[in-house]
Amino acid sequence: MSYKNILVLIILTLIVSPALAQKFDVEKFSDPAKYNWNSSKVQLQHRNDLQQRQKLLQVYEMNKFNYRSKLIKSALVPGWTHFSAGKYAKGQVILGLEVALFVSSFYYYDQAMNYYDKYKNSDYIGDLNYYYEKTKIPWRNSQLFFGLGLMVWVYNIYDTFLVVDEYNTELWQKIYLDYHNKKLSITPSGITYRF
Amino acid sequence: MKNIIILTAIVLILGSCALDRSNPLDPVGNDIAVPNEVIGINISHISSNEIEITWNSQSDADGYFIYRCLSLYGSYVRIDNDQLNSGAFDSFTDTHVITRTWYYYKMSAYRLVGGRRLEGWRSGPKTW
Repeated sequence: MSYKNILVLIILTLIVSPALAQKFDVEKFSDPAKYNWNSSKVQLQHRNDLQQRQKLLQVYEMNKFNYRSKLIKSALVPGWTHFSAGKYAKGQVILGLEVALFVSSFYYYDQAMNYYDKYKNSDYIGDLNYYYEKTKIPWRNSQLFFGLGLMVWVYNIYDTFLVVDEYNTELWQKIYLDYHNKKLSITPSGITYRF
Repeated sequence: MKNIIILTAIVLILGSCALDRSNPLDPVGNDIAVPNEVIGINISHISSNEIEITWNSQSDADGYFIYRCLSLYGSYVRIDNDQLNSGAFDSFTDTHVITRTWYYYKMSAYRLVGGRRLEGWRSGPKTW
């Protein structure tokens, strides 16, 4: 296709396109009835409602749980988010399990290292075998409790996601319901009382 | 369920991890031959304050340890054995003894490994 043909095609397109285009309906666009605003009073009511929703959103944003901060807190102190969200029983179980498992793990690790040090310093073949065998059981227990502690910790992180999600959903519902159940509301546009 | 299986596997793997046998004297993994138990131990009271211990010398030993105790199942204390630092020795005279006191002895052979002494199995308690 030559440049001449392309030029002709562009010019034709420019001529025809206004004829094919829909006419912009400025009346329809500015028609307040489009949103069921039949009067300026209704429009004002909708405006107030929108402003109230924005206020509710601000309240929600201020009070909602932040995923990142809650995850960091729960990672450092398992069950923290559960306590914050009022799920005390679950928080106590998680924290209690973590403390019990990691303390047990440390206890057995310390015992294992005590025997292991004796093994490393042994010169006698009898002591070498004896202390190495004595190291095995506490070492295994230490690893087992650490692994279980790790499992609970991972579950705690996973559950933190769910708790934050649930808390935020409930928070929004509560804010929204509180607003709508409020009988008396004073706004700049006047006082509203719902029966 | 899948996550639980994976985590359980991690726990089992962690639990099965054994500690290294890091002692350089440990025969397991270091290809060290442990000296044999000393045999042919004979103890005789040669005078009121001298006890002689004899044994079969061992070619696989670099020296011997001798332990002494006043009772059969008591705590045996090693006698200073600088004079026993050769596998060729086959006797030792204990001169630090009290007259009319009963002594029990245990013996073992050792081998030098990297400047340390790997002590083989100790013998049972012996007396005259």
